[in-house]
Amino acid sequence: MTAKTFRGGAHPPEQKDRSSGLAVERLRDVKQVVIPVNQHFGAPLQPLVKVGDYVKRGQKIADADGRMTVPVHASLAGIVKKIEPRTQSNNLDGPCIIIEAKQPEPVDGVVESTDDFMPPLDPFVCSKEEALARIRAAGIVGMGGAGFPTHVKLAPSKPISYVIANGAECEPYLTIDERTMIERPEDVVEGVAITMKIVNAPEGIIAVEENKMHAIPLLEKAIASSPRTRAGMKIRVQLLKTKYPQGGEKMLITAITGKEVPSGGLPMDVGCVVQNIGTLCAMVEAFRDGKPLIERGLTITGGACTKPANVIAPIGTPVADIIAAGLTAVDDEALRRIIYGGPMMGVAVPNYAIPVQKNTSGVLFMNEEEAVHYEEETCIRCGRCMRACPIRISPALLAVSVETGDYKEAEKIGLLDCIECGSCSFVCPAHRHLVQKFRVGKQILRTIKQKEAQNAR
Amino acid sequence: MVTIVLITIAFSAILAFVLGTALGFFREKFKVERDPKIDEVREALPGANCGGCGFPGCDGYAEAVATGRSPTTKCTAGGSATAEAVSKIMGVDAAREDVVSVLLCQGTKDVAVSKGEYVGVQTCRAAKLSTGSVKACSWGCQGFGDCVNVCKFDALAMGEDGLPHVNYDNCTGCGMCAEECPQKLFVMVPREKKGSIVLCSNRNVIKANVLKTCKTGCIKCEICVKSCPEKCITMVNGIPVTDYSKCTSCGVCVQKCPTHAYKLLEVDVMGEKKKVPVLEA
Repeated sequence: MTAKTFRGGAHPPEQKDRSSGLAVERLRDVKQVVIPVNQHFGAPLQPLVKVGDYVKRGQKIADADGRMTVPVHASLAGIVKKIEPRTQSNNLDGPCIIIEAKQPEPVDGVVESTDDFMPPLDPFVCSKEEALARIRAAGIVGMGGAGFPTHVKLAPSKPISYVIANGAECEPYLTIDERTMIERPEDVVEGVAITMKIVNAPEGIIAVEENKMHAIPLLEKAIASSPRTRAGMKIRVQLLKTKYPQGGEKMLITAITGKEVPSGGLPMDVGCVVQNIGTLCAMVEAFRDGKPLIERGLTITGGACTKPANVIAPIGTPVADIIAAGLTAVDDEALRRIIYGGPMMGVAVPNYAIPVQKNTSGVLFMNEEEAVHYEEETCIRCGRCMRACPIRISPALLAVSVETGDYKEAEKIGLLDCIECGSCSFVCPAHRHLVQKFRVGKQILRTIKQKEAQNAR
Repeated sequence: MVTIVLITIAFSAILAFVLGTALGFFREKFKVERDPKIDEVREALPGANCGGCGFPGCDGYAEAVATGRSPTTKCTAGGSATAEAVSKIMGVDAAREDVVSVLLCQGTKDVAVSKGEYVGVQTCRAAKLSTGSVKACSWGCQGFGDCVNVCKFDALAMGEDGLPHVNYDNCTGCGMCAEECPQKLFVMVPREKKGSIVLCSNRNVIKANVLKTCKTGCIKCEICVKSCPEKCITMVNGIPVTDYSKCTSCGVCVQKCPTHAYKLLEVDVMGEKKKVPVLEA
């Protein structure tokens, strides 16, 4: 099998060997969870519970009307202690529901189940509408990082020819998708099959980078033994070159199909649906067990992490509690920076009391060497950023137009197409903060466009 | 030799005359009609091209006023004098208050807790986007001086305390700082305004959390609301707001405020008491 790839990209040190051999452990007996009300990309939610309420595990605790909303569920059975603003993993204060674990009192010697799951549903029998309703009811969002509502993604307005399972995991350090593919290959295949059924796609592809070769035989075995492929569904594994950002939705599609997602377009415009490995497993659980998205796998690693781990933790668990439970450990002396997410696109946060969210794929504890910061210098016009840019815009020129406030020009160069992958900043020998500038520029350009639209009205 | 020079001079003179005549002729023939009011209004404007009116410079604003697309009072840089002059040209009434900019944050380096070390792009907007806020208070001044950079009148300077300070002699109330500030911390207040104002924008609902982040933050104790003899203070969205139609500048709220968030505009904000060390540019 030849490894496919896209043009451009970068090769950051992989650093995956710290945690890639460690089996996923489940965090048990969590005392308290801090569940952010808004964990998806879309309209804000309203809490459905009050302080003092008893909630079961899996009970819906926040929801709203509207297409771009996804409900949030209690990941722990217990009492709602507080509903107050707390810092979330995007560094902003947002409303959080704090639940303290409490076992219900036995009635007549029988302890009531603390789980409140939905009845199982067979996605291959039920209608598409029922299946999408179940995915929304289970609170499933893209677990790779953006938190895009999955039920919206799986209701494309165009015909789909490929369903791609994103097992590239191109972010350095992170190994949770790799472990999931090794430990639960059947669920990954089943998830691809469910997605194919919902979007009516003829072909499913599981994309894996070369540094995860050892997962491929397991996936192929799972494909061969899956009842879905025996029933005629076409699923295969595709090998990809190890390169950042290979797991970016648009790069993945270009590498596999050779097609390019048009500017401002979505994967469905080229007949693709891309799903994260974690999302696929969450979907399988939502149908098979009726279990909503109340826990997720994440990798905890980094130079200052003395006990790297792949952990399944309830959504809302403060990372400090995972450390307290002994599943992982951090050397506070050596700790210089904490990053939620991957090192390339993740967010640096002030402390590790911040809870695990639906889109937290990893937590990195960086030491002095890893967190080294270089002073920003002037552009030396070497053009390395242009070669690295996977969407082939020119970061050097873009930075000039953003710095000088020429947003018309910036838009022309392709500011809004930037996927913020960080390849340009990574390769820049002058250590320019390119991506951050583009993020600011995007925000300003969007405001300008909004104002223009208002004036035009 | 002399002949060549003479011929050249004569030829040049004739050419110059012909071209000059042609230019003069075409100037009249293809004259672009332009409202003389545009130039008149332009003359009356200060010419700072600050953009405070929302138009591209003074030329843009002059055209907008002359064509009736904009009110005559939008030039904040020129103040009431300009507004009057422009209104006179346009033949309308001018009623405009002279305003100045006030920063609603007192979170200096000493009193406001920093969230952590920030090493990214050194502008307020970038810092806000990446960290939520470099201070533990999500509402506070980021302190990178985006407002100072946009001020066209040298009315803002970063203080050693980490906050921008308004020089009220120079401030024209153009509002560029208010527009630029990602935290929206500047308000425009009439220059002659008297009364009290809260120099805090923290809308955290939990009192303890306000104090954890900033020693001079408004802790929503509502002592000001209770103690005001004129009953002119109400809580709006977590911040006390003074009703200036009733406020007598008695200063009770300023004295009672436990965190010194309440200040008197004419004394503490714009008056003599406000002496701050300013960094050399």
